[in-house]
Formats: sequence, structure tokens, C-alpha cells
Amino acid sequence: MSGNALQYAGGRYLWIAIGLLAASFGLYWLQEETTPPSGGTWQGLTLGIVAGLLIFWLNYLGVRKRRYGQGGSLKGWVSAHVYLGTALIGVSLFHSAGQLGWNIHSLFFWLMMAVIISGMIGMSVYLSLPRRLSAIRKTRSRAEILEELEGLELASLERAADCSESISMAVRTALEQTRVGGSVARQLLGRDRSSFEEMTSDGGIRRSNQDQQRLLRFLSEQATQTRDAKETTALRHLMSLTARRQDLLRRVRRDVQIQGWLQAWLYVHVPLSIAVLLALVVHIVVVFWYW
Amino acid sequence: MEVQYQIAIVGSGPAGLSAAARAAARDRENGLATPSYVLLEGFDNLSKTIYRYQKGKHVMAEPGYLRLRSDVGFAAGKREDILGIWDTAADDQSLHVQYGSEVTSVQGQKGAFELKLANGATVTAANVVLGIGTQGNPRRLGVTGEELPNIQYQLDDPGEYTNETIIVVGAGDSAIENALALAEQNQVYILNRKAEFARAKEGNLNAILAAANNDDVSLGCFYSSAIDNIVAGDDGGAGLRVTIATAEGEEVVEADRIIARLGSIPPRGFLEGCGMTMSHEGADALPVLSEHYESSVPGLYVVGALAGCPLIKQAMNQGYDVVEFANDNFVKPADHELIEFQFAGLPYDRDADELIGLFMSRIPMFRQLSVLAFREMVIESSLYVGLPDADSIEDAQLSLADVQQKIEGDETYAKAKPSVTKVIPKGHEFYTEGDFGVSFYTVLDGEVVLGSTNFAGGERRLGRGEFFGEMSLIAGQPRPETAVAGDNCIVLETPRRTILKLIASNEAVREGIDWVFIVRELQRHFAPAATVEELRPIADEIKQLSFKAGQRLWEPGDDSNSLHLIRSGTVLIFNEVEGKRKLIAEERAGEMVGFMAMYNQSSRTNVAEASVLTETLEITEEQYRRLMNFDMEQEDVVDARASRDLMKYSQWETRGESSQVLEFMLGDGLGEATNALIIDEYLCVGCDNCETACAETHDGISRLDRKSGSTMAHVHIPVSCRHCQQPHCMKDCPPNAIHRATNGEVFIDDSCIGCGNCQSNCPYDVIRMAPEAPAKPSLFSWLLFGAGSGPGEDRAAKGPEGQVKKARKCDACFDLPGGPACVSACPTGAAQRVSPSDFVRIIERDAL
Repeated sequence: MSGNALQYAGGRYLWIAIGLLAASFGLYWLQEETTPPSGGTWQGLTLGIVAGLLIFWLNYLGVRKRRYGQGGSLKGWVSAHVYLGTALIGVSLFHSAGQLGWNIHSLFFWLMMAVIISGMIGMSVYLSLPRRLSAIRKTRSRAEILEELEGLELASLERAADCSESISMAVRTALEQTRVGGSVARQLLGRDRSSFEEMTSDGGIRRSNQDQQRLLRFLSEQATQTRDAKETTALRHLMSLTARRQDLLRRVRRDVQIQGWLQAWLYVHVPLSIAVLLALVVHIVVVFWYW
Repeated sequence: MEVQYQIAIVGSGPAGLSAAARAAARDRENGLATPSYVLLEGFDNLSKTIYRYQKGKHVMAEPGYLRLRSDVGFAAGKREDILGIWDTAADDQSLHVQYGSEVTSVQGQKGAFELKLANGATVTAANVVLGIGTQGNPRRLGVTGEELPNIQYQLDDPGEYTNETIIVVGAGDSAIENALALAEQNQVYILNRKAEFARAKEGNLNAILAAANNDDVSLGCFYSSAIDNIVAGDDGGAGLRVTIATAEGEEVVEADRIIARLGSIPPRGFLEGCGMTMSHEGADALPVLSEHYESSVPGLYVVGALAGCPLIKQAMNQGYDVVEFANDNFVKPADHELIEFQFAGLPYDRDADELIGLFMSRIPMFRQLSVLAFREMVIESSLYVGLPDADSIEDAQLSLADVQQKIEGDETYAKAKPSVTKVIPKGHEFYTEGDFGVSFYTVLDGEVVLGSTNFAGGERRLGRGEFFGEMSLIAGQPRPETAVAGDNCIVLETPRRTILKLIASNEAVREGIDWVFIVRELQRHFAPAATVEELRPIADEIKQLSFKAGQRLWEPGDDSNSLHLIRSGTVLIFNEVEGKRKLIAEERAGEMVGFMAMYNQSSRTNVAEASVLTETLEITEEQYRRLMNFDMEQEDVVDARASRDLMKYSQWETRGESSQVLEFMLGDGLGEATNALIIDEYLCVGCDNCETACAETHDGISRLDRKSGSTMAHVHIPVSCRHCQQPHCMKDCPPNAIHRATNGEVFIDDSCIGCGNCQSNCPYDVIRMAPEAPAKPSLFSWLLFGAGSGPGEDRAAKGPEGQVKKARKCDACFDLPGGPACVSACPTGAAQRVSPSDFVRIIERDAL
């Protein structure tokens, strides 16, 4: 319907970023005739100031985002943030003339790189995942899918009541022990730790039921063994209900996973950005203190 | 011995109570020991309608600018407090109230009325004041068999009925509440005339849907259904055999009882039984009244809701005044001052009453209005006086300064200012072509110039008694012309609600406006050079048609000897191939459909269907020929338009998926939208910054719900206002708090009384009733002392209990310079606002 943030205003900020890089390179290149290039020459210092201001401005997006009702387009800000943030790699490298080592300044650089890379991951996540989310949900909201799941569970319980105790126990425990979400890692990895209990002579034994696969198999095995007509019909229904649940659970799990990724990168990007801001202050103080 | 009262007051609502208090005060002034009046109340408490409000309901005191003139107090507050004040007043003033006295008939004439009571008693009085409102008279089923027993319009105690089959008719809150309560012990069917429960409050809606889908609850729903007829059942079986017309055909249900909850209407039978003349034939007609609230029966007065004044304060003022009138003391009504303010800047040396008479006589359309209706129209309108130069404007403003000062110094007007004459220079623009607007203008004197490139010579001059602005009022379209103040003009600008009320209640007004609308449409489309007089014969012949949503204008194979000008609503044109529809066009009010087939004299090849309630003007080929005779060159203009349409249609015919998406959007109600929020799911990352931005810019309450709503392909239409062409919410807003800004944004102002009418009228569920959100605490006090809501939290969630809930909806941020906050705060560009002209562009671009 309209372009994404990278396409904003025909890539206006891409050209600005390229311009900034070209100008930075120009300044860097100017240095070579006199002294070896470093952050200490006037060109290096200028580039440092530009990079420092850029860092403040990039961080300001967090404030700007919360300035509601001021008009302008946040999408435009995001576009500029992405392009100029990426350009920061070049500007800072031209500033330091590629001098990296085991010191506080290089730590600052790598912190900054971590922020930029997390930002790039974020941007690619933003560009690719919403489409997948839309495909997974098939025009339905998560709440609607969960509602249908609830209905399937009730129906499964009803059907299970027509079956032998071992089947109904398996179905009941499978429902109870179906897991969606969980810890952050489990959400992001989409891990499924569902299980169910299979009846044995001395009580029950817990079996993994990842992706509801094991339950499906259990039900199909039961179906070939039973002679009871009522139970056979019930098992047919249970299998199709479980298959439907399997499909929906996959969707929900993917949905949770994708939504998790859409947010997770920010938990790296934002705290590190603040760390970069602090590191910038330390960098400036240290540089001028030990000049 | 029978007492003959001076005044018998029927009904102890605000109007009746206030009348009784005035009569009591007069008795005291005259030193009478026995009351000269009686207040008859059928219920066992004062003011039944308000008594039946839900507990703790906040009652408002609109209109704010109206002075309360009553011997009984009233101010905005809780139901209990207001009833308390009235009960105390009735005690303190020893009002002569007779409870349990339902009046069944009023006979006789001034000086000797005889009121028969339901309990068999008779009361005689010289004058009668009716303040009975409309609540006591439910709207009836109106089908054969409705007189059978066990068909009722009220349910007092649901526990009274067990193990019955009961049909509840209606889709409002009372119907749902009754059905749910009865379903506990009975088999209940709820019968909804529409396809969904659009009018119900959210809580009730959820409850009824849950109950209908729960097999354990014995409640069934009939949608899009109505009772066709009722006959008495066979002996031994259930009492009633009810034939129900459903969308799928007829169905017969055996029921013990029918409970119809269809709202209330004026009790026409009773009023006509008293000898009163009614204003028109319709079911909602009110009695014809003089400026002193006297009906066509001398000595028989009507006040309150039944006099067309549903607001409490107005009713109380009428109650006071009517007792004075009945005693031949013709005081100026409490709102007289408001008319004086309105007329203060007029260049006439006459008193306000005379001016009212003068204006009414000058404007043919208003001649048949009652003085009361015209006074109300003037009070609710704005009056503009055009002056030739800066000096005269300055003089006029100086003289108006006194009036302004008077208003400033008056406590009554502290919150809401009454309207005062507005002085404008010649050349002032009332509105500009393309603006949205819903008010209606009447030229009381002087000249107004309408300008548009559509007019021959670019302009059209209007004089005394003519009016303008009808196009936007009727069709919900932007203004088709620019209206400029000419020489010495005096113009009355009337808000939409007021004029619609007049249209609904007065035939002369309706016909007058309709007729001008047709003539101007003919001029605009076909004969710009023709004069009103020349077009009169054709305009009189033209048929006005109305189509319900889903109804077809034509089908393939139909004769095509006419075209349709869409007067209001939207028409979809599609091809039907093996039962599948393929949309090829969407045409809105102001557009023309069906021209090509008429012109080519071929039969129809496609289907035209109304997507919302649509009205059209049908123009036959013969009429079209006559119109073309005024100016043959105009035929080229019409041809060019038709060929442009044809090109559009053929492009769309070849685009399958696009037309599906378009049809989805129109099906979701965007067909009547002017400005809707849509979300591109391919870009949305679910951050909800749109909702946060909305809440932050609108008192902490978001007016959009991103997650809900419907989706097709990747176009998501969230639950958010679409600013309809003809806003449903504006339909009946008692304080007239809903307005339309010049760019089309529909918004609610502070005078909202929280009645919830707009919420029930909105078919898209975009209006929320919510109390004022508390201010956000500082970060510090939230962090340390847990005060209020924190950053990003919903402020409304922690509001204090028992506050007035007011209607909240999207205003498209019309007062923010940066435009809609939801769109500008979207980091990915997923949230977009679209107008109908964008639909095609969006879908087209997407397809590539």
C-alpha cells in the first residue's frame, strides 16, 4: 500500500547518508599529506564531533517517538535513523583512521558496532516478519485463534468421554500439558515442551508430545485396536480435532515467536544505545584528559 | 363533593412537577388554603422515567445556556440526588400529588374538563396540562394478531414466568436484558430485525452472543427477521402461533408469550381521543401546539417530551410557563432572552416577537411551522448580518458589546454561551467549495452569491426566502459551491440536527428542501443555464427512489430507459458470473449511474446494488432529452463523463484480486467513509504506538483498537471512526454535541451528556463511553508513591468510579497541526488514513 521506511521519500536519507560518507572520506583523505591520519588532527577532530553529534541525534529518536501529536512522520525519522546510523560506521572509522586496539576507545567502538548491528537485525526483522505474521494468522487475530483452540479443547474432552480410560486420560493430560510460550528463550526459539500421560499398569508415564505428534500417533494406534463402534467414531473425531489443534498450535507458537523477535532486538538495541552514550562521554573525557 | 380544580396536571415528570410547583406557588401568593390544582401520577413515585434510570446514572443539565425557571431545583448530578431534591421539594411545598392515578381519557372543553382515571375515579378541571412524555407508550408490533393476550410491551419481573416459550422482539438493551433474564427459566427466542445487535451496549452484546452460542442456555436468535402474523394456538398447546419472516423464508414458532421492546412513541390514540390535532401522519407525530403550549383543544396544554422538548431543563421551564399561560399571564418564556441575543445586531427597530413573525411570514417554507418550532430553530441556529463596510461593522460590534457584557456577567452563561448576532462584512465566505459541512442556510434578507465553475457564468444569486447548503445536508458530500455574503444579507445557519428534525416533522419543509435539491442537481449535471422556473416542470416529475443496503437498482437484462443520480449513499456496480460477483465500480452521492445503457438503448449487462441505504433520482430518457434541449453543448460534457466511467469500468473488470480487496473494504463499511484508518499488515510490527499516540493526544483514552477489526489480504481495517458521509452517530444527539469540521472530521464536543445514543447508532462500534481520564502523575510520584498510572499505561483504567461517562471517538486530530497522531506516530508507515478516492490507488499500486 505504501513503501517501507527504507523507501521513505524515494530514499532521501540514503542519499544524505552517502553524502555524509563521501564528505567524511574527503576529510579523512585531506589528512594524508601532512601528518599520519588519526583522531587528533583537526580533520579527525571534526569527524569525531560529527560522529558524536550523530550519536546524540540517533538516541534522540527514543524521545521523538514519544512526542505525540507534533506532526511530521515518525517513519521519516526512522528512515533517517537507519541510514545515518549505518553511515556512522564509516564516519567513526574515518575519525579514528581505523586505529583499533585493546583500550577504552575501542571498547566504545565495538559497543557502538553492537548497537548498529542489533539495529540492522531489527530493521531486517521489521521488513520480513510482518508478512510472515500476516500469512500465519490468515486474517485472524491471535485472540480469535485462541478462542477456536478453546472450543477444540472442549470438543476433545467431550469426545474423550466416550472412550476407554486410557484414551481419555491421554487426551485430558495432553490438553493440560500443552505448552505455548514460556520463558523468553522458549518463546523466541518456538520450543514446544508439551507432553501427555500414557496409562501403564502402575499409573501413568509422561511422554513428550512435541507438536502434538505423539498424541496423534497414540490415537491412530488405538483406532486400529478398538472393536467398539462408539469408540471408533470418537477416535475419528479426536484425531481430526487434534490435527486441527496441531495446526492452530503451530500458528500460535509461530505467532508468539515472531512477535517475540519483533520486540526482542529492542531489548539489546536500547540498553546498548544508552551504554554507547555513556561510553561516548568517557571517550571524550579520557581523550582530552590524557591528551 | 367533587372538587373542580383550576388546573389538572397529568404526569409528574420534570415538566409536570415544575407546573405543580408553580401552581402551588400561585396558590400561596393568592392565600388559598386548598390547592387549586392536582398533580396526577399513574406510578407510585415522582417522575417515573427518571426513577427508572439505572442506579447512580449521572443526569446532565443541557443546554447549558438555558436559564432554569422553576420553583423546583435542578442541576446536573446523580439520579438519586436529583430525585431527592424533587421529593424534598414536593414535601416542603406540600404539592398536591395523587399517586396511582393513571389518566385514561380527557374529555370536555376549557372550563370543564373531565379526566377519567384507571381506578374508576373522575377528576374535573378547568384546564389540563399533559406532561406524560412518551415512555408510557411503547411502539407496538403492528402485525395482525397483536391484540391477542400474552403479547406485552413491558417486563417488570422476569421471575414471574417459568417453563414458557417466550419470543422477545427487539435488538436494544432492554430487549437483550429481558431475554437474558427470562432464559434462566424459560425457552427464549430473541428476534432481531437486523443482521446484528448493533444498538446494544457492549456488555449486553457480549452477553447475548455468548448466551446464543451456549447450548446450555435455552436462548435462540432470529436475525434479519420480523413477525409476520400471530394467531391463537390450538387448545392444549402453546397460546400463540407466531409466523416469523426470516431471511431464509417463513418459520412458525409456538410460543406462550411475546414481549416486544421496540422503544416508545407519542401516544397518538390517547391524544387524538382528547381531540388534539397531530402534526403529521407518521407514528412519531407530536401534537400541534400554539406558542403557549396550547393544543388545538383550548385549555388543554402539552409540555415536556410530548411537546418536542426531551431535555429536562426545557421541560421544567415549560412547566412553569404553562401554568402562567393557563392563568392568562402571558410571560415571556425563559428562552425569550436567547432570541433577543440572537436578534440584537439586526438593523431593525422591532421587538423579538415581531421579528419572529416577520421572518416566518417572509419565508414560504417556514410559514407552516409552529411558532414554537421556529423559535427553537432560531435559538439553535447562528444569525449572520452582512454589513457593507468596516465602519458599520465597528458600530455594530460596539452596540453588541453591551449584549456580550450582559452575557459575560451572567452566571447562567458561565459555562455555555448563547449565540449572539454575528456581524460579517460583504464578501464573507460562509463556506468554500470542497469543504465538508452539515449546516443549512436560509437567506432571511438581502443577497447571497453562490459561486462554482459548474454554474453558467460562474455564479448564482439567492435572495430573500431562498436557502443553500442542502446538498451537503442531504447527500453528505462536500459543499459543491462557495457561498459568499452579498448586499445586506441576513442569513440563518441552522445545525443539521435541528433542520433534520424540522424535515421529519413538517412536510412543507421537507418538500421545499427536496425540491430545491432536485432542481440544483439538474442544473449541476445537465442544464447549468436553465433557470429554476424552466426546470420546475421536470423537477416535479422526477421520481425519488430509496434502496436498502443490498437492494438492487437493476439486474442484467433489465430495461434501461432511465439513469440514476445518486442523492445519498453508495452504489456498487458489478458483473455476476456463475454467482460470483466481480466489482467494477463504486459510485457515491453526487454521481450518476446507468447512463451508457440508457444512451445506447441496450438492456442492462451488469448489476447495480446499494451498499448502504441509498436514495436516487431516477431520470428517464425522455426527461434527459428535455434537459439537453436547454443547451445542446451540455451533451458533450455528459458524454465525456460517461466515457471516462466506461474506461474505469473496463480496467476494473480485468483485475480479479484487486476488485476482491476493494469489495472487502466497501463491505466493511468503507463505502460510506470519508476518512478511514487502514493498516498495512506487511508493515505493521505490532508496536501499538498508534494507540499510544491516540491516547496521549486525546485525554488518555485511545479511540482506536488496532487488534480488532477485519482483515483481507494484508489490508487490516481496525476499529476506528471512518467519518461517514452521513454520520450515523449524529442522528439523535440530544445536546447536539456532534459536529463535522470543514475537512469532514466528525467530532464530539464537551456538551456531551453521556446518553450513549451515538454509541448505539454507530454500526462500526467506534464510540466508547468513558469517564474523564485522571491527569498523569509525575514520573517521580508514580515511581515512589505509586500514584495514578505510569508511562504508557492506560490512564482511563484507573479513573475514579462514578464519573460521568462521555462519548469518545476519533476526531482525526482535526485540531492538531500535524494531522492524525496515529499515522504520524507509526514508525513503519503501516498506519494510513485513506479517503474513498485513495482506495483504488492503494489497491492498484499494491497489485503491481
